[in-house]
Amino acid sequence: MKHWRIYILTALAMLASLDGAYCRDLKFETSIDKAKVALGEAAQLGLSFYGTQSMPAPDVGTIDGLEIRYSGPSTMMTVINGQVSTSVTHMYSVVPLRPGKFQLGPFKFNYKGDDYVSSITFLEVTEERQAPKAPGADEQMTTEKLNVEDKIFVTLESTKQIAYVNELIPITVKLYVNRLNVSDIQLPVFTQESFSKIEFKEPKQYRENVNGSVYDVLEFTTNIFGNKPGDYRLGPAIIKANVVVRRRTARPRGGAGDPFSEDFTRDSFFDDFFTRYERHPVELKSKDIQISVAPVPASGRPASFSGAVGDYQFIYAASPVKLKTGDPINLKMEINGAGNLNTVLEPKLDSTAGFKVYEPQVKTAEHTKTFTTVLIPETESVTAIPRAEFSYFDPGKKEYITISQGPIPIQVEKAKEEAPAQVIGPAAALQQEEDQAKEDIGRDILYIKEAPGRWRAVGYQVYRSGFIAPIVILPFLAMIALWFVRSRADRLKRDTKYASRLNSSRAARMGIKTLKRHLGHGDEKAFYEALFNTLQSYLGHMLKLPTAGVTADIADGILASKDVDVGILNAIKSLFRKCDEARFAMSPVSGRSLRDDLRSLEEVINYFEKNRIG
Amino acid sequence: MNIRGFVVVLILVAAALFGPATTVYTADEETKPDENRLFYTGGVYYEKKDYEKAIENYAAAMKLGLESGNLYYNMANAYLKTGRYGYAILYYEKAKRLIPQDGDMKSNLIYARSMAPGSEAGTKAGLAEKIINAPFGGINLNAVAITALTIYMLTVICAIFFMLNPYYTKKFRIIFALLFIAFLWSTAAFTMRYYEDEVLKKGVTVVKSAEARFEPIDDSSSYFKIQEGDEVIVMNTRDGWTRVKRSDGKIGWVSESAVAEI
Repeated sequence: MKHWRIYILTALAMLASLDGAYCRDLKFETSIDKAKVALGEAAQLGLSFYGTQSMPAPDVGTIDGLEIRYSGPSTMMTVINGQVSTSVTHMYSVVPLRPGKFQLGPFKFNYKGDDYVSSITFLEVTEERQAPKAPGADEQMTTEKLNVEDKIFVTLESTKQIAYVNELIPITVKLYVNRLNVSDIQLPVFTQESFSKIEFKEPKQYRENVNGSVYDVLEFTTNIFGNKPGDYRLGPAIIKANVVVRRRTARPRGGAGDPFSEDFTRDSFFDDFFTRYERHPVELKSKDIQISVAPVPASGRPASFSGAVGDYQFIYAASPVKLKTGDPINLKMEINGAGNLNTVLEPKLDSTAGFKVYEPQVKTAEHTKTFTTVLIPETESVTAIPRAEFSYFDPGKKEYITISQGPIPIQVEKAKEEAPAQVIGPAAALQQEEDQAKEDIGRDILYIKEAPGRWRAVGYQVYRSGFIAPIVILPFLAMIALWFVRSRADRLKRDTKYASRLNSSRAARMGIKTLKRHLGHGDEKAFYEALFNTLQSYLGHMLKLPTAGVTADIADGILASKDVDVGILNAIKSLFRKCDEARFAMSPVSGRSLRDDLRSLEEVINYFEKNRIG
Repeated sequence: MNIRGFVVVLILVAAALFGPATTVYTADEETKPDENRLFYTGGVYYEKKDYEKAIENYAAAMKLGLESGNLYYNMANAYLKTGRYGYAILYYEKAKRLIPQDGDMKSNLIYARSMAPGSEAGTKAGLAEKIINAPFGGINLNAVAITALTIYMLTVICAIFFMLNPYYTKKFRIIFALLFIAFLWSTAAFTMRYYEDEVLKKGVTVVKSAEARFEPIDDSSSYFKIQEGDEVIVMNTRDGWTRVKRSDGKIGWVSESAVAEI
């Protein structure tokens, strides 16, 4: 029971404190539906309290030249994206008694010890009466015929008309509503080519006095950024909503101009009974705005710049800093500040030699982007987490700024190798097999070579070298030549007929050569001496006879048995005879005869070579 | 010629074949000292995981007009670390031509192929080719050439010796027959390797993917696609296009930058 009492007392205390806060947060506003009226035409004055629906009607007192009568309260509750706001407006009918410009307010009001002071507004009264509305006009109202331009409109604003690529540009879209019931308000949309995607936050709601009229304002804000340089037009911003119009379908009594009717119909009971509400969809467009997007400067751009634009801080922290090899280190790199976090990338570490580095986890908050990386020291020789560098472009200072953090000293000890649990008994072998089966075989490339090895010219091939051709060809030619020589020598030994023919031919060639020389010198005796020797030598080799033993008769006898042509035999006899005459008789022979004898000898030799007689 | 003379001739022939090559390499090392510095600097950057810098240094060494199997191997490793599997395979293949027996290279090449989207390793050797190449699989083309040349020289010298000394012909004819078979074998191996490495222009796809078209023009219809790491035969080039033949025999035109020759 004690607990229940405590709870109740606590709840009451909280309610009391809320009530206090409630009072302090109340807003008291003055508004008027028409800033300008003619004599005899009534205007509606509204005294609104925002944040409550239980405020009594304040006493407005008297204003010279105006007749003010209380019409009744009107409460309103607005729900936008789940946010509820309440207000109460006490309506007063203001009837001007003379022309002029009248100030309404500030009205002072004390309620439960709290003083409230309203804002002020003005009413201008002219003598000219505006043309009366056609009967039944209210029944034919459409969204177009509603004077929506004055009562509801949208504005699009940006505090920056010139920005850099990736620089955040604050955008504000405001929906102004004056004495209209608006529902189903949608988020603003507009075209944003060359800009990032637009996502509006929860709207703010407040009241704003515009030219003497108080508007309920819904303010939507967001940040966008340009993707590429250029001059662009942004907008128009479009908001779709429904305007709720009160339509009176039937009136049991009274009509326009009836001085009572207005007061009478304000009775909520009759309002509810004789009126109904219609929703009229409206599409509200703002004016568009011009925004220029400039590129970030190319000069002075640091190597570590990755596109971040704004004004940032870089926090660098690691834990633990005392550990063993293989233990993880959480490295936290936090970028915070005002700017476009979408283009903030992970700061680069100088070197991660000696560490195994994992991909970072990235978390983005409203003004913070955090990269959390796990580093594992692979060796106890590492003494510090390397330095990290982050660069960004500060559009305010119009310069690149680089922040370096670290290195962070760490102490790494060698991890102890834990002895595997001993498995005793026959299960040991099985356990070992299971361990082997469970082992994951790592796979990676093998390390680089530490020495360059044997250098050689690119494309060098030994078989293209100049010395290769002689090495290949010459021994081969030598072998062929040797084979030829050896073969010939062997045949000369074995084949006597071939050897005789070969010798006789050689003897004939040498003899004819000598004969031509003697013929050229005109030495007749030497000529015939040589002719005799050549003929004797040739026939001797051919007939396999001793050279000195060859005479005209012997040759004739042997050759006749070999069916040698008679003409050749006669020629041989004639040559022998002439040789004898020239050698022994010393009779002169004409130069013509020497040439004839030489030709005759050649014919004899050709005959025997051709017919292979021997 | 007696046995002693024969042995002396053999020694002289071997000296003639291997001596000049060794001298050339040594001379190159002495006259161009920068390539070693670039190689080691590349290794330092590699250790720092600055693979781009490592590649820069290795490439600078190549620009000196020199190459080595280890240089290509390290270059391939650096490319592999940067995720450019096509270039990694390209340089492993280049390394393979110089250090075909290197186990690290073989392992990394297999790994690179497993990582690359393309898995076509070019034409596969037939049985006869495998048998002929079996004794020479672990040596590069130059070594095959020198081996074949040496066996040729021995065969010729042996033949000459037998011509001059018929007495030994019967006694050592088995040696001569074996030499002659070895000569034919090594010549066949050299011819095949020469055809593979020098006549056939092999290339590796170094871009993620490339469309092979029927004609060397942009709006030509696509015929087939080659992927990073695919080995192709480079047939010819023309106006920024390369005509390639895939292992399945399909021939098409791809952008010249899509394929790099080994």
